[in-house]
Amino acid sequence: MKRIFLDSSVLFAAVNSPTGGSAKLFTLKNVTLFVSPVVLAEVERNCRKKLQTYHLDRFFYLVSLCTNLDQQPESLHIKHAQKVIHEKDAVILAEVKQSKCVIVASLDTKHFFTKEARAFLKPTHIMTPKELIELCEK
Amino acid sequence: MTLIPITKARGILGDLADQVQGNDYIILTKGGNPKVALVDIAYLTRLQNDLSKLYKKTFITPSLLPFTREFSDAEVASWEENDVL
Repeated sequence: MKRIFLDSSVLFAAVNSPTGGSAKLFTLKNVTLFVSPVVLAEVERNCRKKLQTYHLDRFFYLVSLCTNLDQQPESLHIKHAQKVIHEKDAVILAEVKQSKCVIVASLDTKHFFTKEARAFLKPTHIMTPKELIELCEK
Repeated sequence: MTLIPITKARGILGDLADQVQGNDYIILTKGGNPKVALVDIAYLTRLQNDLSKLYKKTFITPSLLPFTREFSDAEVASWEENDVL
């Protein structure tokens, strides 16, 4: 079983579009999807603000398919993450580090797919849902 | 779902009320537009309870909120682009 951490972009996209790669992650076998309390709070906040009521229903359904990590944001991790990524993304990067997942799925290619972020997350690999699906279907 | 003009429904309201059962409902129109619905009271109560449960359920807590942010429309659009298979 691969332990995969879903960042906020992936969970939000899965809620927003049932036909994208993010939604397809929920159908993969041999993977366990993990989300942290910060990711849940952030995605729910944006679902309530930007999407329709039925999306919120879908959000809770998708979350029920994930394993919720029992972790709280740690300022030391966030401080370290701020050195390698834009401040707005440091919390999520720190959450990934803390989760000890093998892979993190993200759609934020601009900020998360940098050399610095990859080095920070090692040994965790960062992939888009599409890359992850291709890997799992090999 | 059945659509009936209010003018026609007026005389047969009792019969229409008997027809409405479970998840079936009747829409009454005025000037060709949907105006009100006749729904089974049990169905309405269930809908209200489900909605209220949905709104009560939350992962947002005051301690986590400062660690979250609002997504911009531009980043949501770029995620959608990157999410295409």
